[in-house]
Amino acid sequence: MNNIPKKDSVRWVIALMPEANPIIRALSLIKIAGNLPFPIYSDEGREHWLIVSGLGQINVAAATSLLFEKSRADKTSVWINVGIAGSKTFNIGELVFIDKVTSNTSGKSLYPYSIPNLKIENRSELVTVNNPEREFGSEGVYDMEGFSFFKVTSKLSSNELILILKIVSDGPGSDLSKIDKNKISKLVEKKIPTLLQILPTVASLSENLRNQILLPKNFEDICKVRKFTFSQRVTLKKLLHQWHARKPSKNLLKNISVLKTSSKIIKFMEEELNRG
Amino acid sequence: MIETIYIEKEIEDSPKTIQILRKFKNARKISIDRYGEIFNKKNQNFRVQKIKPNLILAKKHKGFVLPTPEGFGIGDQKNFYFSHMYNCLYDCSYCFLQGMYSSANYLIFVNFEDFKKEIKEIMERNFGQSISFFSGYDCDSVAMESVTNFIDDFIPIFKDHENALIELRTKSAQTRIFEKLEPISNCVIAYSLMPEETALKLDKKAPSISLRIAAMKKLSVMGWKIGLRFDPLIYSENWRIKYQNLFKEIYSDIKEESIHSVSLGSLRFPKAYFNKIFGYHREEEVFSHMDIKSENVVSYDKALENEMNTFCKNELLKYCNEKKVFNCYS
Repeated sequence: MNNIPKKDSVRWVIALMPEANPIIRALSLIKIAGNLPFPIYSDEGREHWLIVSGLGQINVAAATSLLFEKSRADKTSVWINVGIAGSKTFNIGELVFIDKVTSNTSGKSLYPYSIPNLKIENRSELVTVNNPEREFGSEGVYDMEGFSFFKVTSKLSSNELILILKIVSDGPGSDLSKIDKNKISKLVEKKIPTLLQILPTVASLSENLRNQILLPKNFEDICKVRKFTFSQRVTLKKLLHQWHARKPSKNLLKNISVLKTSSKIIKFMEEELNRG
Repeated sequence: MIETIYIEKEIEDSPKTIQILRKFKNARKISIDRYGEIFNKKNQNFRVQKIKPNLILAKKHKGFVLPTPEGFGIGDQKNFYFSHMYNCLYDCSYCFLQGMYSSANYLIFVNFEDFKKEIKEIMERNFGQSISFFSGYDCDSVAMESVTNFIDDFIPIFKDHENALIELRTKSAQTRIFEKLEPISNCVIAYSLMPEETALKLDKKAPSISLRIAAMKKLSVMGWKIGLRFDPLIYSENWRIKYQNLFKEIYSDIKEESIHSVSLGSLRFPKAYFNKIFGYHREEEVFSHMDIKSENVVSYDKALENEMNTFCKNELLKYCNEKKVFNCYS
């Protein structure tokens, strides 16, 4: 079975439908059929997946776990939480990259990786609360999902691939009843170019991780034409790494095409490598 | 340039923290409780973080100075090591730190006073005995000097304790700090070395061997004692000729009397470290010659290991006294 993860494997976890709509449109995502507790969307190539979790930490934890399972995500998948947030520090409409997230209830803090060279000027702490914040006691940004999102995803993927991005929608004195679906979608819509612009940066980090778990070159081709036992497959992997490190210019497939059994292939490679 | 600095709340106001932060005025500063919240956590990746490491300023609470593993030393009766910093500016393919940590961020323990206090206590407890303190095993002792002022801070305590020796292990070609100080006979500036061609492939982001030799030459002329560290010895095609040429070049530039000690050791890793490092550098030739030697150690074939050690030692003995040559055991 080929376990090599897909290119640009991104999972979007979004609390509200009006936040999700601009992203769904920008990435041409289509709703996955089936009776699911949270709506899931994906593109044709199954590279981008998006789930709409609903508000709050319990919802986001459940939705994230479901998306992990349904999308067959792995340690090299990028996870992004985008949503609106309140702040007294930033202006309405500003996009903020979160590099510290604190739970208002437990006081515990978690630290999303501070991705370098990301073209987002604002970086800040996020406080995750259980009810919409009106007082904004601390500097930074307030939301209702970030802490739980990071806590769950940091168990599922490499921490360097998890992003929380918040778009400021309100501040002290804002009338929350005036933040309607339309306004929310417009706030996200305006940041779509920036969101798309950062994707190659995070995709390159994901690629770096994928390269660390890739099977050696030619491994699958060789296993397709000859039958290897489990222990022979382990030996073959080791020999292939050595071969490509020491004899990168020598055409291995051509050399072994005449060998009829797995044992003969292993013997040939061992002899060649011992020869220096 | 460092983009983000994490600072433990407990040391936010320490003079060393303030001194370091002054050098990174534009960095984003994030307050943390303990460095363990961000350093070496599960599900972090060393190679990804190595693309652009951040800086962590923290306080070390215990284990400031530790005894070295058995078989490690350069002639003194007792041997200790200490690490005021974890991780390194350079990116050497075989660096064991990649196997040890899942984080590549630079971690500096700013409570230098606690390290110095423990060093002095060990000096006093061992009065009359010769002792060595090794620095630079979890970091490069010199490379981050412009940030840490480590050497400036630590050399004075050795000036007053001649029975104790400090080794500063490095690949840096920086000599400025030593130019400012008066040389002392019980400080060894120990350079990690390998043939230039091999270093060009493996010692990424580190100064070339010729720059390291030039730095050694400059410091030796100033009166500093130099250590030559061929640990690890790296196998490659024509390794004998390459090492012969390297030794010849070093000893033609530096007088033998300036050299305090020479040490040799073969490339070896604990198995768990090797597996991680190999995962990061699968097509690196240096690892393709290594194999599991015992339950926990990965190294070259025993015969090759012995051959390299013996050959290099014999070559070195053409230039220096046997008393100065030490083997680092696997």
